[in-house]
Amino acid sequence: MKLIVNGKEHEVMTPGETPLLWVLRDFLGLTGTKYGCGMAQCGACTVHIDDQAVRSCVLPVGAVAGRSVTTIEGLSSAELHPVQRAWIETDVVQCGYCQPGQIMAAAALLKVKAKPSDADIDAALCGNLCRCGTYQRIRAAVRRASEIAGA
Amino acid sequence: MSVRSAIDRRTFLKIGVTAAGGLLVSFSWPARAENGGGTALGAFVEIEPDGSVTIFSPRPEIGGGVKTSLAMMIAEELAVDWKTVKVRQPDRLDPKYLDQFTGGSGGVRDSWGDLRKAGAAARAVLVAAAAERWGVAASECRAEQGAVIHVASGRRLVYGELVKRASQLDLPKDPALKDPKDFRHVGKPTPTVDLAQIVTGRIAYGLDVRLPGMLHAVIERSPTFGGKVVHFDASRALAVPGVKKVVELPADRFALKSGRPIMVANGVAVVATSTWAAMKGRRALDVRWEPGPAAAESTRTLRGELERLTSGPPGQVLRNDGDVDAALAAAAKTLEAVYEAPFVEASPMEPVNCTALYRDGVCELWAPTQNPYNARSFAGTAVGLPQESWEKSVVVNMLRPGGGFGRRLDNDYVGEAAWLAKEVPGAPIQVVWTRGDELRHSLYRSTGYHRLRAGLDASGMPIAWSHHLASPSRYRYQHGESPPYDSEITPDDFPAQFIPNLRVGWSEAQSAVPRGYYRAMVPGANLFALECFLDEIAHAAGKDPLALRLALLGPDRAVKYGGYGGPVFDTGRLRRVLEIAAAKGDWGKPVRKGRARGIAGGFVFGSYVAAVAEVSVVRGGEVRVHRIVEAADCGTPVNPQGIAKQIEGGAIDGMNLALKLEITIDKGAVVQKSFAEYPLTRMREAPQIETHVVESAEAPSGIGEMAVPPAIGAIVNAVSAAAGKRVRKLPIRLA
Repeated sequence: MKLIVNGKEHEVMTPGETPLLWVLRDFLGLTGTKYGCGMAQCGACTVHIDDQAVRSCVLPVGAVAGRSVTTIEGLSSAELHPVQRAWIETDVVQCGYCQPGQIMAAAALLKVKAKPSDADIDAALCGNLCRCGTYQRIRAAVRRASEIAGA
Repeated sequence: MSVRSAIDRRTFLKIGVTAAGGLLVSFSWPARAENGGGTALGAFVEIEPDGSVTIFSPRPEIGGGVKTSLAMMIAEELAVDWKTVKVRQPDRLDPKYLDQFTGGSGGVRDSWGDLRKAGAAARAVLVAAAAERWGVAASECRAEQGAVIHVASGRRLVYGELVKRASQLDLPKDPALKDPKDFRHVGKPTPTVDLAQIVTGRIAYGLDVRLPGMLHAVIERSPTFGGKVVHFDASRALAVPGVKKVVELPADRFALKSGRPIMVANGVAVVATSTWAAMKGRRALDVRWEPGPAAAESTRTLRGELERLTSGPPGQVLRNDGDVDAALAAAAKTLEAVYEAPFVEASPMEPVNCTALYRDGVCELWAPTQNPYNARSFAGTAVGLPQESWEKSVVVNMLRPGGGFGRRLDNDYVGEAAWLAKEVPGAPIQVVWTRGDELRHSLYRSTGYHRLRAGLDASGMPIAWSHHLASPSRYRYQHGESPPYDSEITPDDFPAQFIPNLRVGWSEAQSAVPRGYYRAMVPGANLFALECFLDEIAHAAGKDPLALRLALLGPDRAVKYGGYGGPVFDTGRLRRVLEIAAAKGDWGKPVRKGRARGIAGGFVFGSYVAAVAEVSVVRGGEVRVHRIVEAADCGTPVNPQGIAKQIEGGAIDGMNLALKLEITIDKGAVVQKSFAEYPLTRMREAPQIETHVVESAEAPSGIGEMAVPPAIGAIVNAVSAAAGKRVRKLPIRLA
């Protein structure tokens, strides 16, 4: 089937039921999208399908054939995405494993809500676990990203 | 409580030349016991003729920030511009990188002397080379920002121009270290290195290893601890497209020769060309299990045993000051309480995993581990290679782990991968643990049952204290009878030494549950019991909990501390952080209606920490944590920003332990299978966290774990106040 990932077309030979996560990681070599639970409980595998944040670990690849998939590797082009810049400025990261998922969730939020409130941030990122407990810095970084994007 | 065998800490600096003709400063370092002896060179500083500086930060980065802080220490003494320095971690386990181990909050503490010395020695030869060129005394020159300056004349030579000559000079045996007042990097808030790589998804964690021809495997392990495969039918699994092989893993195969074995479950591995095919194949397996003797164990039966054990005299008396029984009998008031902590699992965000390749008598590993020498031992034992050969026959490639929290100190998962690799020689194999595997087949922080008794005098001050812990100990599980400790209790913890009649005892409970580590393992479980019982005493005596602690601590002084983080416990440093946390956390001030505050403090792995938590209890018994204020004195704060981050994360982990996490056992198996049943703190629950780090000139102490125990104590004490009833069991369930 045909898959469009980060603007590039790929032909993948796998049963349609295969979760998108494993297609990205095992067949396309895009390992920036992480495995954390396989049950849509932790958000480490968050990617965008047509600009919306989805959990790729439970999404059958057959359901996204022909649609536009964006992963952490494709979030920015020449210049870092405002969310990525804000993450660096705020020094959010500890182990960093959940952060690609957090960043993808935050970027999707800012797309629909340019100036999110703390409640908006909490709601949008509630599905993304951080074992290191960087939540306070994530919250600050999302606010900062909103400023950067609006500047 | 050090998790390592003793290391001979004598070091000798060595000079060398890089491939490009630059300067290389290294250590001669007596190798660890585990790697079979011998002496090797360690390399930390490379300066090339073009002036580029690379600093090797030797310890595995598991999220605590050592890669940044260790490099800062070297850069400080080397006198280079931090912005121009390239920081690298060794790609492989190699004795020349000194002590590639991260754990016990020892990263900065155990490197503080040696790594600064490496930087200072390099600076000394660079200064000497410049002085020689100018024909002046070295004492007339100083180094800064990657250059040597002759102070009187203002002449300046950058390091790149000096490295050729410098590399021919003798390194000073004991190079002069900088006066802390001249520090430019140490003490400056510094963002973690690698941020750009991480936020773009380009940094490789263990699970991200991709090798040509790589196979993927998952393992169906015995549901009960110690259970055995009776029969399995692989035919349906083998029919799944992509599945290549199904093989039984024998139990206990990888047990180390020394000490008791770390349990590795009997299981059936499904090997496939992709992770998904392996997972699908596993679901198609038909396995019949013999549950084994552990099937009789449950959380309920073990709790009954713990209760029974603490009703009698302790199996071991670790401390017995004065006459506790007489003092209790004579006390004006007595209190007795039981505090309980459950089994917990570390559950790093990246489940444990390992990739291994066995070919021509060499086992190569790609391991996200915080304890790579131990990983090598497990792999070498699992594939049956002689220990003398491991330095060459077991190659450990170091990958960034997605968190540790203690889980990656044990290397059972590395042993499994190595053993499986031998079944498919020539093909790299990645063994993936699902979250359910991680929760159900791990090594668990031990449960503990604390029976505490106190006797107060007429003024309400405790004059008698008895602490009896019953637990199945991690130390007994992994080290047999050998020291440093048998139990999860340390005899010198506050209030020991401050109450005249005080007894600390431990009784061992038998359990089939494998025991391992967790962030702040011992104090996480014990400090909560001590700090909450003290709170209880204060309330019973009509005293303020902070005032009671300060009265017990008495005048500032140093007392002996035999546990991990010792040998000295400075009461003044604990007093100070308690006072700071209290002041910043509005202790004693009016609190919003429906909310309450709690306070706790402690001496954790050499650092002094205190926390004030503000909580409310909403309808249905749900606890909301609104604010946590923590103050810490961890000696010289090498990277204050890194320390603040560790406190913020530690406070959240304190919430996990106080409110959320519990592993329960039913019929010899773990009940929890997913984050739904093992819920970590989420974004909407995250409180406002404020951190206060004390300025200090003392040697740095551990930062990675210190914030967890006082956060637990403060939260539990706050919940007790808010709920109007005493909470004594973790995780808190009010409903």
